[in-house]
Parts: sequence; structure tokens; C-alpha cells
Amino acid sequence: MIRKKKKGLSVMIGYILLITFGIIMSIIVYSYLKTYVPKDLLKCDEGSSLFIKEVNCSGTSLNITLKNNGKFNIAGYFIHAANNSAQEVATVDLSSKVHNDTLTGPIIMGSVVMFWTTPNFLLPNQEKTHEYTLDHVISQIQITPVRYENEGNLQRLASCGNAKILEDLYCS
Amino acid sequence: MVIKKRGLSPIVATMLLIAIVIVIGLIIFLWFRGITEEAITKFDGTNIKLVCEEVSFDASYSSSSESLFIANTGNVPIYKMKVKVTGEGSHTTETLQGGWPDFGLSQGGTFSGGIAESAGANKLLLIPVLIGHSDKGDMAYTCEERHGYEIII
Repeated sequence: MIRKKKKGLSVMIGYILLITFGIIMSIIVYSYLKTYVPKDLLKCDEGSSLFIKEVNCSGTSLNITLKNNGKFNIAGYFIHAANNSAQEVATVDLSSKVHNDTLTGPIIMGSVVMFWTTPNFLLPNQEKTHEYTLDHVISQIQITPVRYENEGNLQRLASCGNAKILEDLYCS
Repeated sequence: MVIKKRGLSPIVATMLLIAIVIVIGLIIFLWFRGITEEAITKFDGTNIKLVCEEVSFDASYSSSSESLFIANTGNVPIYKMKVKVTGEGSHTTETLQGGWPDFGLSQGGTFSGGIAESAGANKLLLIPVLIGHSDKGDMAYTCEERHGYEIII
């Protein structure tokens, strides 16, 4: 009987090396591709809506009554104006012009007029009137509702760009 | 008959083989990493290319005042804005400077200002630039043109 001497790596070590390489390659590929997995980014709930119930211009005073005609509570809104009718996008921020007597909430993030100090205060069918003091001519106002949305354990302010409203008017 | 065995032992040969494979593997990995872009992420690890899909803004251009108006209507802050100005048979790309906020347009942010090279332009393409995180720190990423906003003048 011929006796063969077996030398080299054992089959077991071969398997261990193979599996280790496989795991390392998987980790590298996973860490690169995991960023491409879509996540739910911050979005305002569909069905959030504000409606300009009444708007009055008198001299330098602008009164706006907003009504929540959506399904969800609203926290506040962005308000911008356009100076002339040729301007299709309103870019003049009016939040700093709101009259303090009518303001019931703070102005946060520099330009969000809040309805109250608590988040998502304005319930469906509720309305609120704010008065603004104008210092120049405006031909259009644009209002974008905002509401707090849950993102993990945090509440973040989401702009409801799909629910923005435009109103043509002439205030001088 | 006595046979003299000479040369490397199988163990040394195997170790050399593994070492060569690891070195070649590292070279290929570094080369591959070089040709693939480094992942820039935003909002808790989402690739910035996916975030570009969520950017939402309105824009218009007034020929009479030669002014560009932009309003960020979405929830993704726009760090900078590139404008591809297309004229007759040529185009240039510039980044909006004058009046653009230092930290970009946050939610609800607006911009109004001029474009440096708008003379003879018949089309503007506004391409958002976002800021994200990478291993090297914060990095700006220019979204693809398909995420841009086209204005015909």
C-alpha cells in the first residue's frame, strides 16, 4: 500500500477563507449600495390645505383671513408677495410685516408665521385673520402652508409646496 | 532510490499565493474606488442623487427687469443654483452670486437677482446644487440637468 503524504491547506481552512472573503465583499458592496435605498423624506401630508377666505387692502394695510379647508391641522404658513404683475414668482417675504396685535403665534425660521405656539394648531375648518402693514405696492400674494410632521422621534416643519395658493390683488 | 525534494514548501507557496491575491485585490479595490464616485449623503444617509429628485422650486425670469425669481417650495434646502444660459449656438453656465443667501435657500426661501450673461439668451436651465456629507466632510453636489427647471425667454 502506498502511503500518500497530504500537505497544504486543509479543506476547512479553504472554506473559512472563502467565506471570509465573501463576507468582506458583501460588507463593501452593502455599505456602498445602502445609500441608494430610498427613504421617506420629509413631506407634508396630502390633503393639507389653506384657503384665502377673505383679503382686504386698505391703504398700507392688508387683512388676510385664512381658513383650513384641508384634512389635517396646519401649523403656520409662508407668505410672499410680488411687486409687479410681470413677476410670476412671489419673492418678497411679508412675515416681518405682520401686525403684532393680530399675531397669535411666533415667527419661526425667519419667515414662518405660526398660528399658535403649539404645533399644528389650526384645526380643519378653523380660520384666522392676520393684518399686515405694507410699505410698497404688491400685485400678488403667495401662501404656502406648513405643518409639523413626524420624522422618527422628531417633529420637523414641512413646507406644503403642493398646497400653495396664489391670489392676484393690487395693494398700493 | 533517493529523490531529493527542493523548492518552496506548500505552506510557503500558499502564503505567497494569498499575499499576492490580497495585494492584487487591494489594487483593484483602490482603482475601482477611484473610478466610482464617493457617495455623498444627506438626511441620515440617503444618497444625494435620490435627494435631488425631491428638490422643488418655482422660478421665473422677467426680461424687462432682467431679473430671475426663485422660490424654494420644497423641503430640501438648495445650497446654490447653477444657471445654464443657452443662446444662439452656444451656452454658458454660471452660479448665481449676487443676492444669493450664504447658506442657500432653505424651506420657503426666495431669491431675486440678475444673471451676469443673459444677453442673447433664449433659454435658461436652473440646476440646483445641494450640500451633503461624505467621508471628506461636507461636499456640494450639482444635481443632474433633468432635475433642472427650464425657462424659455
